[in-house]
Amino acid sequence: MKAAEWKRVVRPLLPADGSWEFRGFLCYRLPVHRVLLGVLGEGSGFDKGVYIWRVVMPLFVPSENVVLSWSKRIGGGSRKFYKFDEDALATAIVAAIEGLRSEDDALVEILSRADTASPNRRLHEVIGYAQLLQGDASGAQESLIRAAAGVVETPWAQEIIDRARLISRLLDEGGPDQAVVQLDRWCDQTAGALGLRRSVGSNQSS
Amino acid sequence: MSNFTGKATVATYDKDELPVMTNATYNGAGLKTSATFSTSSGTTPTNHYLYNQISSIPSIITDSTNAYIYNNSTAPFEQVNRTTGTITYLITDATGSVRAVMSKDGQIEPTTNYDAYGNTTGGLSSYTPCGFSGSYQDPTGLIYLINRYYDPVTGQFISVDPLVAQTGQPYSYTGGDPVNAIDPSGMCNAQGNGEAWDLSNPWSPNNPICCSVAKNPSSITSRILETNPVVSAIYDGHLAYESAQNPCSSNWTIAGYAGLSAIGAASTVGVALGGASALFGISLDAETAESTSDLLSNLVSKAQATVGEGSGAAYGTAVYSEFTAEINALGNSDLSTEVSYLNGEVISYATVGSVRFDVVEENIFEPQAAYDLKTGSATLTPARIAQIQVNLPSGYQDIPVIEIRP
Repeated sequence: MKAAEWKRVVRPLLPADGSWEFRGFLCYRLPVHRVLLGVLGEGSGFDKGVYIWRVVMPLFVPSENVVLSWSKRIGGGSRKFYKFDEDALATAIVAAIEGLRSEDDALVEILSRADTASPNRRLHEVIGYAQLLQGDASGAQESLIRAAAGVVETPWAQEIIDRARLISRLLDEGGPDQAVVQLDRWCDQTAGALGLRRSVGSNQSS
Repeated sequence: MSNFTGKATVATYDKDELPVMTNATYNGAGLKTSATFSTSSGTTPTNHYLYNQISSIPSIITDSTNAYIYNNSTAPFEQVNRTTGTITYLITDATGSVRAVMSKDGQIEPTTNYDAYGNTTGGLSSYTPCGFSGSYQDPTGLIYLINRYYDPVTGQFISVDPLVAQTGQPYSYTGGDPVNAIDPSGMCNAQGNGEAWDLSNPWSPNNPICCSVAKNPSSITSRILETNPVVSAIYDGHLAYESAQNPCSSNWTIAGYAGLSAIGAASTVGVALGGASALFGISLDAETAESTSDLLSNLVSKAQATVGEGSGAAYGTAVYSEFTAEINALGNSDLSTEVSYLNGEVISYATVGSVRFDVVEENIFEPQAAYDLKTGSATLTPARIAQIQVNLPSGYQDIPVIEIRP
């Protein structure tokens, strides 16, 4: 399936009362503040099937790619959909769209995946920032300590640690407001890198 | 201590003023894979452990601080700090207890003394967690003997011998003879009731897994002064290849501690040959992965039968497509197909620099195993595995990466 075809399939399924934007195989809801919400069609490498994702992507972690770590495949991790089965494809897309909530709800959903025992420092980083945005500064500090703990495995792990320590320091020195300002800078950075439009009236990210 | 029945177990110990273990996780083989310790002044960072499970008794090859390299002993002979790369050699006595360390330029540091039951009675003891009998001692003071914790203060295990019906010794350590025996698995028979370990060849597959090792046959001091491939390779950029000295791992033809110098992290790659699938990693959940690999191998065979005879790229793609359909038909929510990773994140297919797995087991952001289907002559190489591992989520870079074939 080509991007234009994807757009043709998805567009009539979008709710009339919302504003939506397409970028390749990603269709996302406007306005975009700190969490990208949308539906993504990910092509299979083996056939013409597509995996349908309900996209929940925290923008407050800098990234140059659409990150799906917090998103969900519709129908399970191995379910593909095909153009020839229009009903199933449409049902999956609608399910993805209908599963989208508000950005605040998305943050709550992210926080529900908190696991203090996880060795995944990316998880702790996102949880920490989400806690901060939800007003839990002390919880955020604990999560950021976990994000920065242990041996540095890779260069990108060092970046996580540097970011976590920066936010932690800002929390200590300037309080939550300063730390949130930094998160919002990263939101802008990520949105810019992805070429996202942020609001209905804007062209692209600020 | 809690039973090893689940992946996550909370355990709490309080012994004098020592730290308390507040949280621990175990893999499917019952090996502790992480632990967090608390003191009155706070919680330590979670320590993560990786094991060589191919040896008869699993041995810790990395924790969050060091990598450990073994020769023919229950104790590691070398310890490499994973952050600084500092190498120290551990010098053991006849029972395998670490008594001193030697720097790579030959300087020997002060000794550690133990009483018969493993309590330190003098010297330094903080340079390595591997101490009495070469076993791993937690900050709690308890010694982790794989199947049970041993408390040197009381001279007894803190939980019942899993083989108590056979041994009749629920808590006893080495049947009360710690001078002449050690118990690296925590499952030894009482002294005199177990089979003797072959002292001339302690790693022989003929040795019982559950036994008292009556003394370590060799001091490691002489071994590290030998010019052997292991030591030479270690001096040459921390890359060690396991020699054929260990018959228990004779099917393990390549073993590397890669990446210590490159990225400051240790990973281990093993290649097992001769099966329907090839195991490419020392697994935190090796048993689970192997059973899944069998299942997936069967599905590939089924897919191949459906597609019929053929060759070339188009044929391979058809088999792959059918294979993913078979997996979906299973309805197993633990299996995801065609999952891509980059820098520890799940990302979309064809993102530049990403790696893609045909099948990933369990939560894709916290995968337990990854599978790569091969229908042709191509195979996973250690270089490719290293590339894969660096892109897997943080904390999951040592999951087994398994090649699946019909």
